Amino acid sequence: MSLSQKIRNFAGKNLPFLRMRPAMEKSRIMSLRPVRHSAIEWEQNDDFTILRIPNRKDKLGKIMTLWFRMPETRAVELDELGSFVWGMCDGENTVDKIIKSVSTRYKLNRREVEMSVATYLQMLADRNFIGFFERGGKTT
Amino acid sequence: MAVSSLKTNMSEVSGPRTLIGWHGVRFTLPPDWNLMTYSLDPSEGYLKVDSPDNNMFVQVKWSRPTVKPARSLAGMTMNFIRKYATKPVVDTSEPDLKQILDNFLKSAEKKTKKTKTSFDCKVKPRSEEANGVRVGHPFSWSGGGYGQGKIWHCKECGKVVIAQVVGQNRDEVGKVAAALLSDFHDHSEGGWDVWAFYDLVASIPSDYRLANQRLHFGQLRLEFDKPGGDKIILDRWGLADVLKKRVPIEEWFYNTYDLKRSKVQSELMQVQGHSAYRVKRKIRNPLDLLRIYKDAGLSMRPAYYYDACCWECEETNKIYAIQVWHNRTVQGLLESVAERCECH
Repeated sequence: MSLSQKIRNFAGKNLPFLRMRPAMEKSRIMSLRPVRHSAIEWEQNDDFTILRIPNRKDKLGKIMTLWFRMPETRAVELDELGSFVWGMCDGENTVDKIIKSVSTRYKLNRREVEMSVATYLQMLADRNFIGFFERGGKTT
Repeated sequence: MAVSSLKTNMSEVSGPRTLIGWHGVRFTLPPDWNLMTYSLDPSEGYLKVDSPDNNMFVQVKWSRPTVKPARSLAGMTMNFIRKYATKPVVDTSEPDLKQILDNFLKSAEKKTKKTKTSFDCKVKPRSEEANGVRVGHPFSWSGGGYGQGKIWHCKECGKVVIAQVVGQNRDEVGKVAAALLSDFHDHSEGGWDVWAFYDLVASIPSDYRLANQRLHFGQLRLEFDKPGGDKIILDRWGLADVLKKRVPIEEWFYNTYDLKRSKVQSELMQVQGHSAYRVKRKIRNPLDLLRIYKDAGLSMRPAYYYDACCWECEETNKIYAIQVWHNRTVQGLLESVAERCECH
C-alpha cells in the first residue's frame, strides 16, 4: 500500500471530521450490504417512494424544530429507479447484487449501471439514509 | 454521397463475443468486457477495455504518422487545403517498430519495478500478415502479471498499433490475446467507421470525426462533424419503459429535441423492423443560419437541412435518436446511419 493510501486510511478512520474515506478495493465495495436507516419511514407508490426523514432528536434539534415551527419529518421523493434500489437496501443484498438486478430489470449494460448505482448509494450514505454492512455484520 | 454496402453483421460478432469499435479500430472480446478508457483524438488513440471481473484488461494504442509539410508558402497552403479536405496525407513508409516497442516495454518495465518484481520480455521476429499489408512483431512479458500482444504497422492506413492483453493468469491472457489479434481491424472499411461500446453498435461515414461524446447513465451520445458544418448526433437512451410512462415516445422526441410540429415535416419510417418517427426541415431561423454559416467556413455548401428520426426498441428497452445536419448534395444519409445502427 502506498504512503498516500496509508495516510488516507488513517485520516478516514481517526479524523472523521475531515470526511476522508479510506481507500477501498472494488471487490470489497461490491461485497458491502447497504441497509436502510431504521428511523426512516417510507411509503412506496407505483412509480416512486416517499421517505419520511425525522428531524434531529437532540436538544438543539428540538429547539430548532420549536423555534422555526418545523414539521416532525421532512419528505424526500425517490424516482422509479431510486425506489427500486432503495427497496433492495435491506442488509441482505450486496452492492454487486443490486447492480446486477438494476442491470437485468432495466436491460442496461453493467458498466453503465455500476458507476451510477455506486454514486447513488454513496449519496444516500452521505445523507445518513443508509449504512453499509460488511460480511460478518460489521458496520462501516 | 457514396453509401457503401458495408454493414456490421451482428451474427458475426455477437453470441459469445462483444464488439468494441472506436475511431475505425474494431475488435471482438469475450462477453461483458467493457470500455473503460478512450481517447477522442483519431490519430493518437488509446483504448482500455476491462474484463467483467477486472482481472484482465486489453490495451490498444495507435498512432498515425502524417507527412509534415515543408515550412514554405506552398507547404502552408497544402496544410490549409488538407485541413478542409479532412484527409491528411498518411506516411505509409514503415516506421522503426522495434524502437517503438522497446519504448513501450521500457515503460511497462518501469511500472513493474515499482512492485519490486523481475521483468522479462520476449519479442518474436518480424512477421507479415494480411497479404503483406500488416508487418509486426508479437511480444509477451511477465513481471507482476502477464502481458501478450503485438505491434504492427498497417501499410493501408499508415497506423502503428500496439494491442496487448494483461492479466494474472498466463493461459487466460494467451487465449484472449489470440482471439483479439485474430479479429482485429485497424481501419474503416467501405467508408464507414464502426462505433461499438457498451451495447451500442453503429456505423458512421469515416469522413466524419468524433467531436464530442457523453457516456452517462441511461444516455450515450456521440457527436460527429466534418468541415463544412455537416453534423451527425447519435443518441441511445436507456430506460425506455420509464420514459414512456410519463409521455408517449413521439411527444418525448419532440420535447427532448426541441422540435416544433408547425415547423417540421413529419412522417413514419421503418428502421430495423421498428416504426420510427422522422422529421425534416430546412433551417430558416436567422440565429441558426448564422451558426451554420460560421460552421460552414469556406464551404460553398452550408448544412441547411435537418433530418432526424427516433425509434424505440422494445426488445432492448432502448430509444435511439439520430439527428443529421447536411447540405443539399447529401441524400439518404439518415436512412443509411439508421440502417447501420444495430438495436437488437
